[in-house]
Amino acid sequence: MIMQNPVLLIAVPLLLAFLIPVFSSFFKGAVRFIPVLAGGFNVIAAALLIPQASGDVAVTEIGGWASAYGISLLFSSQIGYMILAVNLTALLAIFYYILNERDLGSPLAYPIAFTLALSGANGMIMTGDLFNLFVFMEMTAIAGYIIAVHKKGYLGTFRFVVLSSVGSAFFLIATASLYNATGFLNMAMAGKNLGALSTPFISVISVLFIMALSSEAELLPLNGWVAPVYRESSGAGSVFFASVFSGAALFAVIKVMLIVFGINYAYVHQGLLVLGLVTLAAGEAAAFKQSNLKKMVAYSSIAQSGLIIAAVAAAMRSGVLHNGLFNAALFQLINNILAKALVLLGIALLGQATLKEIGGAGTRKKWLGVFISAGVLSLIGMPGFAGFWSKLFLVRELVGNRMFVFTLVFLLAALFEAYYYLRFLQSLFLGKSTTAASLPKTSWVTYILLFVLAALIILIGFAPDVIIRAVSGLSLGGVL
Amino acid sequence: MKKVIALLLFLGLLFFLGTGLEQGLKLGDRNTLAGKAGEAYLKRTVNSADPSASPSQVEYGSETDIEENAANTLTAVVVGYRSFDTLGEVTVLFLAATGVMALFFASGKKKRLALAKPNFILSVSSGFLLPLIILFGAYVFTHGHLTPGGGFQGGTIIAAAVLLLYMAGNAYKAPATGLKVLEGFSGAGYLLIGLAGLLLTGFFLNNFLPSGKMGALFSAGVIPVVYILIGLKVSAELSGIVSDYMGED
Amino acid sequence: MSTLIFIGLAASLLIYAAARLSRPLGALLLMLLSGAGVAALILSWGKGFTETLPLGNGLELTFSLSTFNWPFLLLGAFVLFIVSLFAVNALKEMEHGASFLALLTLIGVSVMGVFGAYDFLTLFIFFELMTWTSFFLVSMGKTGAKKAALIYAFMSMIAAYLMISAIMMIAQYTGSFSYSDFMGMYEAMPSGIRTTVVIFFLAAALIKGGIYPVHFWLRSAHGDAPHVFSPVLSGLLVKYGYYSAFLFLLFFPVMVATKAGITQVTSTDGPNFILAFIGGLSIMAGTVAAILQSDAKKLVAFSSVSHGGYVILALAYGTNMAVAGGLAHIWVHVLTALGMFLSMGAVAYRTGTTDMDEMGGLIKNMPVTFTVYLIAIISVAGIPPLAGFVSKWMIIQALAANGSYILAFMAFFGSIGSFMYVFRPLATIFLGQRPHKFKDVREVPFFMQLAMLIVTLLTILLGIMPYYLLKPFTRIQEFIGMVPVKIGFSTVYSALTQLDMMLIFLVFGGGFLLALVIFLLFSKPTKVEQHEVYTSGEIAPEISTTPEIYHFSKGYYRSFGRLFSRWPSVEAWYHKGAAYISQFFEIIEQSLFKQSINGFIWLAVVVMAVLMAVRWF
Repeated sequence: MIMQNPVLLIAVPLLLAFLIPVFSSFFKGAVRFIPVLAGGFNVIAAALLIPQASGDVAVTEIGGWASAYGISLLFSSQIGYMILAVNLTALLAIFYYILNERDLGSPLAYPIAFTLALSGANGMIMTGDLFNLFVFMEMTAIAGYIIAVHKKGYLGTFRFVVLSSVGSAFFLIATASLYNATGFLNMAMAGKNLGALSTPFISVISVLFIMALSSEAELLPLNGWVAPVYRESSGAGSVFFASVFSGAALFAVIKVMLIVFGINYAYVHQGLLVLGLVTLAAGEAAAFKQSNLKKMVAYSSIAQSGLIIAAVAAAMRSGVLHNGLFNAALFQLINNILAKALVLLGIALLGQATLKEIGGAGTRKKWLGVFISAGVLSLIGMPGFAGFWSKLFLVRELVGNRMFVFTLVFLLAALFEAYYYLRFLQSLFLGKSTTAASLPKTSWVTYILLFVLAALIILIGFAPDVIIRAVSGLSLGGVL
Repeated sequence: MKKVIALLLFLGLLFFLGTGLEQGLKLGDRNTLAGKAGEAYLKRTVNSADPSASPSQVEYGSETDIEENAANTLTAVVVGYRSFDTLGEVTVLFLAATGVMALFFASGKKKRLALAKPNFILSVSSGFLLPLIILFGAYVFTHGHLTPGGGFQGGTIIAAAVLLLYMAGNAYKAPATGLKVLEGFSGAGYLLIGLAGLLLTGFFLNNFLPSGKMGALFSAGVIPVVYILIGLKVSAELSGIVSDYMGED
Repeated sequence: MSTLIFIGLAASLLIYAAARLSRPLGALLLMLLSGAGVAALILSWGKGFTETLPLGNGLELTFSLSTFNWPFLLLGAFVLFIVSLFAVNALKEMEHGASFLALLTLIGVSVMGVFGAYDFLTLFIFFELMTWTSFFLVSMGKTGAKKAALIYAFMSMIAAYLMISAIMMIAQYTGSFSYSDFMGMYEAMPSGIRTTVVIFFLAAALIKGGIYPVHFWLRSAHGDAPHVFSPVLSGLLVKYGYYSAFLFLLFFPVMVATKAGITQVTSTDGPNFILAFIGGLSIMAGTVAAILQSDAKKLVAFSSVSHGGYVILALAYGTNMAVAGGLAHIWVHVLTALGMFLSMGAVAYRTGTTDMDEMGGLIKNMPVTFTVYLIAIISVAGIPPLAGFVSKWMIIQALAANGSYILAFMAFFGSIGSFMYVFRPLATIFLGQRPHKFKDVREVPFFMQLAMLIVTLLTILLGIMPYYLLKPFTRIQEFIGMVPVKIGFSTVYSALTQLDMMLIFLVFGGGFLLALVIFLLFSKPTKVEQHEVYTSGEIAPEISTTPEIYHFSKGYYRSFGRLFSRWPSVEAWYHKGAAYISQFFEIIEQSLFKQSINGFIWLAVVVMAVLMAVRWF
C-alpha cells in the first residue's frame, strides 16, 4: 500500500545515493552495488505501479499540500511505461558499468552520479510543477557532467556545461515570468490561467521553454554537445545519455507543451514542429558521413528526438489533439529508448571506434553481432522488431492527417538512416578489420543484459498489442 | 561586422524579451501578490478551503495551529511548502561537491596549495575565533525557522570557519572521511524524515511533528530538524570542497 | 499458409544449424523444403483459399492462394528449389555459407508472403523482410558487392516508402488494408487519390523490377552478388516489380470493372502508352548496355533490364494477347535468367572469374554448361522452337495487330540486339582459344549439372508444348474478366494467324537431323590443336608473342561501343548526385554541430530570434 506511491521512485535512489559516501568510508566494496539496488528497486516498483494505474492521470501531492499550490507528481499507465523503459535501461547500463567499466575515474563519483541521474530522470518524467522540473533538470544535468567525463573527455563536457547552463538560465526566466503572469507554478494551473494573456507573451515564453529544454533533449539549437560527449563517454555513460536523459527530457518537453500550453496555441506548436523537422534532417545528414560509430549513433539520436518532438507538435497544433499521432510518437520514444541502449552497449563491447576497425567483428562474436543487429534493425524499422510498428503507425497517422510535407521529410530521413545503419551492419559482419586488435572478452553475464533488451524489442515486434494498449490514453483531463 | 550583427541580434532579443515578458515581469507597482500562489503561502492558507481568505490572527508566543507554524515565512516556504524542491537543491549541492571531488581525483594527488604566510595576528586569533564562528553558524541554522537564516546560510558560515583554519597557517587538514560520513548521514536523514512522513501520514515530506508555540525554539514541527540536517550537510560539503581545493600535503 | 510462414522461419534456424555441420546438408534441406513447396503448389492447381492471422489491436495478416497468384508462388518455390540444388556444391568455398543458406530460406519465406498476401500490410511486411535479407545476401559477394548492396538497399527502401505512403492513403480512404476492400472502393475513390496511389505503386514496381531509368542498381547488384544468389535476384526478387505492376495495371482496375468479356483493358493512348513507352526504352537501353559489358554476369543483368521492359510494355499495352504474352514472358525470363546465371556461375565455380576477356575455349571442358547456356540464349533471343519465341511472338503479334509500330520496333530491336549480346559470352567463354591456365578445368559436379539441366529441359518442353506455359495465364485472364487468348495443346491463336509450336519443332528437329546426317556422312573434319584454331597456325605480328593472349574476342564490340559512347548514363548521374548530397551533408554537419562555444551561442541566439520574430510579424 505504501509501496504504491510514485514518490518512492525518486526518494529511494536519493536515499541510497546519500548513503554512498557513508559506505565508501566503511565498506568500500559495497559501494558499487548501491546503484544496482536503486535501479532494481525502481524497476520493480514501476512494474508494480503500472497494473493499478489507469489511463487517466493520478496526482500525488507531496507534503500533503493542495496540488494547485504545492508540488505534485503525475502518474498514469502511459507515464508508467515510460518510467519502466527508462529505469530498465538505466539498470542495465549500471550492470554494464559494474561488470566492465569499474576503472572509470573516481569509484565514488560514478555510482553517485548514476543513482542521482536515475532519480532525477524519474523526477523529470513525473513532476507536475515547473520549478520542480527545473530542480530535477539541474540534478540530471550535473549528474550528466560527471558521467560525461571519462578518460578526460573534458572539452565535450565543457561544451555540455555551457550549453546546459544557457538552457537553465532561459528556463528560470521563463518560469519566473510565467509565475508572475499566471500566479501558479503548477503546470496545469498555469495552463488554465494562460487564456488571459497576450500572444507576444505566450510566444516568447514558449520559445524560452523550448530553448531551455532543447539542451538535454538533444534538439537544435543547443545540442552541439551531443556528438563529442557520446564519443568520449563510457559505454554505460552513453546509454544514460541516449536513453535516460534524452528520454526524460523529451517527455518533459512534451509534458510542458501539453499541460501548460495545451492545444489552443497553434503558433507555439508550429515553431516546435519546424524545429523538430530541421533537427531530424540535420541529424540524419550529419550521421550519414560519420565513420566513428558512437558519433553516428549520437547524430541518429538527435534526429530521432527531432522526429518525436515534431510529431507531438503536429499532433497538437490544429486545435484538436490528434490522439493517434501523439500516441505513435510516444511509442516511438519508448522503442528508441530500448533500441539505442542495445546498440550503444553493443558498440561499447566491440571496443573499437570506427567502421573500418570493427570489420568482421560480428563473425568473430556471433551473439554480439545478432544482438546489435536486433537493435539496429529496430531503429531502421524492419518488421519483426519493435521499431517497425512505431514507424508504421507514425506514417499512418501522418498520412491520415494529411501532413504530406512531414511525411516526405520523415521518409527521406528514414531512407538515409537505413543506408548508414545498413552500412554499419555490413561492416560489422562482412568487413575486414584494418587493425589486428583482438576484441575485448566479454562475460556471459554481460550478454544477458543485451539479451533482455533484444528479447523485449523482438517481443514488441511480434506482439505489439500490450504496449500499444498501454501507451494509448493520456487524457488531458484530471491533471489537477 | 560580426560585432555589429551580434549587437543587432542582442538588441532585437532584448526587444522581444522585453515587450513579450512585460506582461510577465510586471515592473514597478503593478507587481503584487494578489491572486498568486505566493499569497496563499504568505497567509498560510494553502490547505484551507478558501486560499484567498484573510489570514487568521496569530499571537507570538502562544500555541497556534496555522500551517507550518514557523515565524520565518521564508523558511515556511523553503522547508515547508516547497520542501521537495529543497531536497532537490540539497542533492544538487551534493552532486556539485562530488563533481569537484571527482575532478580532483582524476588529476591525481595535489600538492598543498601555497598561500601567503599568515601573519601572527591571524594565527593566534583563529584559535579563539573558531568556536565563536562555529557557534554562530550553528545558531543560524538551528534558529532558521524563527530568524532570518537557515541551513544553507549556517552551513556556509561553518565552512568559512574551516577555510579560516586552512588560511591560518596551521598544517590543518580537514578530516575527509568524517566530512563524507556527516554529509551522507545528514542527507539520508532528510530523506528518512520524508519517508517517515510518508509512513505516518501517507504524504511524503509531510510535517508530522507537533506545531508548538509560534516563536519558540521547538515549534514548526519538522522544520528545525530538517534545517539542522541541511546545515550539517552544507557545512560538510562546502568544507569538503575547500579541502579539495587546498589539496593534500 | 501462415503455418508455412512459421515453418519457414523455424526452418531457417534449422538449416543454419545443419549448414554449420555440412554445407551440402543444409542446401539439401532447403531443396527438400522448396521442392515440397513446388509439389504442394502443383497439387493445389485450381484450388484457392484465404486465411487470416490476427496480430491483435485490430491488425491482421491475410494470405490467399488463388488463380491470380498461383503462377508467382510456383515461380518462387521453383527458383528456390533449383538454386538450392545448385548450392549443394556451389557453396563450398563461400565464407559465410551457413548464414547464406539461412538467409536464403528467409527470402523464400518473404517471397511466399509477398506473393501470397491478400492485404497491403502483409505485402509490405514481407517486402521489407525481403529487402534486408537480400541486402545481406548481396553483400556477401566479391569486392564491390558491398557498395552495390547499399545502392540496392537504398533503391529498395525508396520503393518501400513509396509503397507505404500509398498503402496508408488507401487505408485512410477505405478503412482497411485488404485487397478486396480496395477493389470494392476503387471506382468510388476520388481520382486524385487513385492516381497518386497507382503512380506510387507503379514507381515502386519500376524500381524493383529494374526498368530504365531506375535500373542502375541492377548492374552491380546482380553482377557482384554471390554466384548462387544472382539467379535468385534476377529470377525472383525482380519479379516482385512485375507482380505489383500486374496488380495495379490489370488486376485491380479490371476486377472492379464488369466481369463481362473484355478484349482490351487499357487504351493505347494516354498514361498507359507512356508506361508502355518506358518499357520500350528499357528494352532498348538494356540491350545496348548489355552489348557493351565485358563481365558475363553484368551482361546478363542488363538482359534482365531488357526483359523487364518487355513485361512492362506488354502489361501496359493491355490487349489480351499482350497481357498473356507479358505474363508468360515472366516465366520465360525466369527460365532464361536461371539458365544464364547458373551457367555463368558454373563457369565461375571452376575458373574463379566472370571476366569474359580472360576466358575461352571451355566448350570441350564443360560441354553440359555450354549446352545449358546455348539453350538459354536461344530462348532469350526469341528463336523458335523454344519458350522465348512463344512469348515474344505473342507480344509482337499484339503490337503489330493494333498498329503500334514504334513499340513493335522497340520490341524487335530488343530481339535483334539480343543476338549480339548473348552471343558474346558464347564466343568468348566457350569457343575460341583456351588459355593455358584453364587447361584442366572440369565439368561441374552432379547437383549443379542437374539443376541446370532441369531448367534447360523445361525451356525446351514449354516451348514445344506452350499449353502448360500459357494455361495458368489464360486462367488469370478469365478470372479477371478478360477474354482469354485461345490456345491449343501446342498452338496459339492470334487475331492475325496461329502458331503451331509442335510443327515448328518438328521442322527444326527434322532440319537438325538432316544436317547431322549430312555432317556424319560426307565431311571429314581435320583435327587440330585447340589453340591453333583461330590463327590457323600463324602468329599475327601486331599482337605480342605468347599464345595465352591470343584472345581475339577482347574488346569484341568496341566499334559498336563507340557509337554509343556519348549516350547519357543514368548510373553516372546517380553517382554525381550522391556526391553532391554528400558534400551538402558535410556542410550541414560543419555549420550546425562542429562549432566552437561561441558559434553555438550564435546559433542559439539566431534560432531564438527567428522563432520569436516569426510570431511577431
